[in-house]
Amino acid sequence: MLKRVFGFFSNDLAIDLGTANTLIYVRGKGIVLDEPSVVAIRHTTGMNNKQVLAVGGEAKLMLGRTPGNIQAIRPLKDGVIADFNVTEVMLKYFIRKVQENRFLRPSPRIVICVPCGSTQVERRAIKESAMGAGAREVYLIEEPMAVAIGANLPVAEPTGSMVLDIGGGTTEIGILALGGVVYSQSLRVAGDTFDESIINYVRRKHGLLIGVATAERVKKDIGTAWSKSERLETDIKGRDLAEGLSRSLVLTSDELYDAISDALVAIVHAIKVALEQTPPELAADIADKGMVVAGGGALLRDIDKRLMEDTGLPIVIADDPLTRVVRGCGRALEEMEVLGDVFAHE
Amino acid sequence: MTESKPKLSDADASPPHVGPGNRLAKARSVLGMSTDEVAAELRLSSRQVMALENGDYESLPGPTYVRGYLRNFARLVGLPVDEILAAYVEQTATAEAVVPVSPPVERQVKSSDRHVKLATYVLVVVLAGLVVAWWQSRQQETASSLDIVAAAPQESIASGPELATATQGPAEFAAAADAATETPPSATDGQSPDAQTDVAVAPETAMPAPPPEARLILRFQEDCWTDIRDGREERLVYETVKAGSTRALAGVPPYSIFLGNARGVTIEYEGRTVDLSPHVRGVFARFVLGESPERG
Repeated sequence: MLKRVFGFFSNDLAIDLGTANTLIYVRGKGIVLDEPSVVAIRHTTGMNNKQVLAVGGEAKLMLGRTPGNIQAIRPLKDGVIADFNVTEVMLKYFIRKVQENRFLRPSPRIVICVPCGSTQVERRAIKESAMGAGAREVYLIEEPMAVAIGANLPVAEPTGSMVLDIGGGTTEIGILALGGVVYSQSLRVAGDTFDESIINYVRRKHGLLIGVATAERVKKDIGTAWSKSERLETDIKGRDLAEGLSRSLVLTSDELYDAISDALVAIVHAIKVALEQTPPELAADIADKGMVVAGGGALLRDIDKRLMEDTGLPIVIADDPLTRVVRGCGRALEEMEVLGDVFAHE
Repeated sequence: MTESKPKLSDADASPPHVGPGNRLAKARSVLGMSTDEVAAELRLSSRQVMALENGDYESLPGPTYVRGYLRNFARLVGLPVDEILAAYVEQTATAEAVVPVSPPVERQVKSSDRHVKLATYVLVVVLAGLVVAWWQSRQQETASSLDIVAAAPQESIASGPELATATQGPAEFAAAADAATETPPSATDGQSPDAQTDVAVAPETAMPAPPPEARLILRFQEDCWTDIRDGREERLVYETVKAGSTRALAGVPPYSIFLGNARGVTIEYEGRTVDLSPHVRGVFARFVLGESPERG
């Protein structure tokens, strides 16, 4: 009852609860929050032995640099909740942050996206964690649908649209028509997999241990998805496996391409499977229009050229690919009446 | 290649309303590529490439796709992507304004709207005002009940010296009464007891509205159940009064008095000790003291 009363004063929120970053879009205001999905927790003795130390960007700086009693956690893994309580704390913090100047603390309606491959249990977990964070109503939307709406594709029309969202934890492939998902596939190969592949490659090839943050930085700086890309170089520092001392190394983009090519092959294979499963009329539409790519993976250098070469489809990188999902959630919320029932059901 | 440079700069110098298609077509021809070659590179059909070059966006799927195609095309022919996209936006801005993407949705009243905010604040202020008013009225109620409790001992203290002055210096009283009633000095002639009655009467004539109050002092030597009401039927005492205490009462005569233990009490009325013996029945006494002001 109180929630409903406060709801009158609330702004509705759209949340992209991603493995790597959480974005919040406020109805009528746009994207107001973009923070890493990281929570730092301090373990103390006593009754309440877990204290939240930092959330978001501040906590991300602590990843891999914490003393024994502090733990920096990424509460989401592969697009779904790995630690329910910490996710709830994080959501609560973010929601409060975007509403901090409010006179009354309202309970908003929230749209959250979920990976299309998530199970009922995982969806229920996300829904309840948003409820626990103070939502009045929670709507779930599948990520491919959110991307398509966010990229302004004609999802409600009788024409096929294909989207690829390479996020932090999952890669989502979706084929949509008439406001529904015709085919969708969620692949647990994405940005984090690239980072892990780079770490493994550098360890195997050069005998050097590097951290996740370093791997992510080189991926962003010189990483490429195409074998014919311009060659770039960068310095990295890490710990030598044999000597145990720190050592620096020059990595080239060719090496990075080698490192992540397995993951890329997996993604390309999933796209091909999706095209095989698509009804012919929709496949014709998609071949004509192409595929829209969003998510952090769309920022990987020359990914469009690689995908064009391997799939034969025209590839369109969405503008501002990192925010397409949350924009789609926001638009779904704002134009609920126009777009119809685009939300996922448990 | 030397020729191509001036051509490219020509394309750069061309006015923006020409659109991105022309620049792309020029750059393509400078590179010596055919539309089919470009189409093969971009995995598009040559019809789509022609449409891009001619600015025929109607035949293309939609703005998101067109932007993507233009971006890829610009990168292929080596033109700055941002400029091409900006030119596209400029060209289509007017067209988009005419055709809304979605039917205009009736604007929903939101909490961030100024008038809603204002109304909320007004409501909150009014509510806060009501709460404060209620609180203050409650405070006053409790304060007035406290006043009643506090008034009794004060009166008993104040009445002593006052009465003493009344008996000792009637002249002063008379003078005060003169000032109030502006009666001729004849009043001062009346000494001792007369002066007192004058004093008692004088305010009555001056202010007829409130009934005059006559003082009643009870001194308790023993515990005694006491029930005293004044002429307005107002209950002045209704309890067992402890031995050794003194009660000074002010009310409108006549007082109807009931004493449970009449022997333990002495009563002073209007400065004179009242003889209780005629009223005592057994241990208690019930009697009426004083006369109503109408009759007096």
